[in-house]
Amino acid sequence: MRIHDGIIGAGFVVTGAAIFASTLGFPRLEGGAPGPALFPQVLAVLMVGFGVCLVVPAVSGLRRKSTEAAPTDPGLGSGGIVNALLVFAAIIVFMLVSPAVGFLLTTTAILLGLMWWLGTPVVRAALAAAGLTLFVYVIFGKVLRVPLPLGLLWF
Amino acid sequence: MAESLWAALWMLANPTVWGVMFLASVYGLFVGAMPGLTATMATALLVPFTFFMEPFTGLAAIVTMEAMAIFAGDIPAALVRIPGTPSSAAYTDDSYQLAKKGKAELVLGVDVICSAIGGIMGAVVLMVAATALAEVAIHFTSFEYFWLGALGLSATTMVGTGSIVKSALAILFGLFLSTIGLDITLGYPRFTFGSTELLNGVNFIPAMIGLFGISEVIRNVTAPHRPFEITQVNHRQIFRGVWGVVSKYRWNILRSGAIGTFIGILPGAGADVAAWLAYGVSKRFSKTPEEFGKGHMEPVVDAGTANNACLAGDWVPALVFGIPGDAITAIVIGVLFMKGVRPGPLIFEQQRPLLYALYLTFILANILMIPFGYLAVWASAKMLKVSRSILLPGILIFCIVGAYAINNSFFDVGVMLVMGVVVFLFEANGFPVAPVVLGLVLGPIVEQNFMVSMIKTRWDLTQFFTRPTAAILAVLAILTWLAPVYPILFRRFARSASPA
Repeated sequence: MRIHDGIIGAGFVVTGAAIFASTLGFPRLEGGAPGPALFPQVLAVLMVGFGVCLVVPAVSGLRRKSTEAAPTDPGLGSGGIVNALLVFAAIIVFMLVSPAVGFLLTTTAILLGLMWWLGTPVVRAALAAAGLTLFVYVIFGKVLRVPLPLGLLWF
Repeated sequence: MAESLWAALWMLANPTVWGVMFLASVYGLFVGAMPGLTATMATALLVPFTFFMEPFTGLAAIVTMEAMAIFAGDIPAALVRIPGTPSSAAYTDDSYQLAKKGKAELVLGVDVICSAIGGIMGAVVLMVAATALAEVAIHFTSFEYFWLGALGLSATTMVGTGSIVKSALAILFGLFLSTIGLDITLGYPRFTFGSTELLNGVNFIPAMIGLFGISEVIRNVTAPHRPFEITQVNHRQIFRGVWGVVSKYRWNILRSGAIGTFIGILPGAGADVAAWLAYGVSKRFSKTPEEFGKGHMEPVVDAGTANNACLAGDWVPALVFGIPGDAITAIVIGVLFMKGVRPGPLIFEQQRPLLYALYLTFILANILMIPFGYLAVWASAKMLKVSRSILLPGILIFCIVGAYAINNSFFDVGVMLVMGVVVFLFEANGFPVAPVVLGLVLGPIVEQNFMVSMIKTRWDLTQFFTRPTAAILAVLAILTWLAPVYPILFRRFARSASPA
């Protein structure tokens, strides 16, 4: 997911401009002094400024290689991106499905799917998923008394 | 004082605290010994549990876990040439080469003892420096706190590795997040988009879990992984010969303990920076610098002492000023606020038993490191064989449930998800993550103190420069902001001074 610095910088410039524009309608303090808008406006201006600092060298090709951080992950393979997307999908599935289906079933299914996808044999994955779900349920649901969604299961 | 100390001992004598410290030790050793998982992630995942604990018990859990994790990062560095945490990276090659030469036991024994000594040195400095600084800080007003916050933000950018522009943008992103919710002057809702959940701002804990938990799951599932080739180690032998090494390098230990603690006190610099700096100083003053990187004990002693010494140092600005020393103490400050404890000089007056108990915990955790370190080395081969395809989904579920558990809210899980996506994009493009959390923590400090100062002086900006302490802090902050210009000025000066 390496994105060109010029695009990221432009993104910050646009975001900064949008933040600034959205603060124009904020109320002022008594006597017309700046109030809630001041801090976000300062941030917005700095964001635009540093965004430009990222865009200009990237576009002109003058980026100082010696001081730039090497990206942690300069280029994920397609497998890597799929894995990352699956993690995000798992969180979304939990948010959407667990209120109706319940914590135990949803979590077991998510864990089983992810473990299997990442290379665990299916039987081992099923056992690990069930055990881990139960462990998390006992810790959070029973010991810490977090009301985890019950869904289809009522205990 | 005696009364406070007695109360602190009473707090520490609580069996629940001991149970929590035991579990936190095991957890810290496991996370630290697993390559790819960091102490910061471990702290973020621990926070939902601390939510259900007494303030001191939660802090004791974090202190113990943190100390154990930073030490345990040395284990895979020696056995598989992969640092368990970034703090062990500086001396990984030396540790591994020593292990390959048949000295795995000795290097791990030295790691344990030097980590413990460094940690205790840091704790002693924490006790002395924090108390002394608190007496100065009690006279601070909103002007000084504004400059301290500004200094913390700028120091974070300057001491970090990598691009200053990207660090600054990461800080600005964190600062922007801190503006979400009701503003402090008029209670006006900013950037909430009509959401009632955002009126109180971005919930700190889910944000931390997204920033440090989800990001590490993503980093690990996207990185290719093959089983480790583990160097065999006989745990029964790890303390044999350690005394000789410690005695030989006693001045190195003292020097690196001091370096580590000093780096810790600087806002924004963590244990990894301390280890690299101690490594550099060690090489500079070593009689055998050519041996560094080839399996030399000296850098292991120096950097291994410094990274653990740094941990207590990080707590100095956090406790005295509410300014985080690193990402972990940024999370700690969030925990303290969550528990109704406002970090700052007043806690040195009002919560002395809590502070004393915290100091004692630092010392106790570092003493406990010796037997626990022994056990960790014993279990190291098994820990390194834990299946990552089972571990990583497990961590993901802890992240999700931890984020949910704070308010029993799926909205918070969504906050965690958004932060996870942002960090994924940030890291893939060379943006550091720690400045985001520092911006999130320091944003309210900077804004609130600026606005309070402005309102009480009717917008007289000169007050920020005319009070003596504020003026000193202002000069320091401005000098830090100008840091990127110094190399350019220096080059120009050198060019003009050199003969044509």
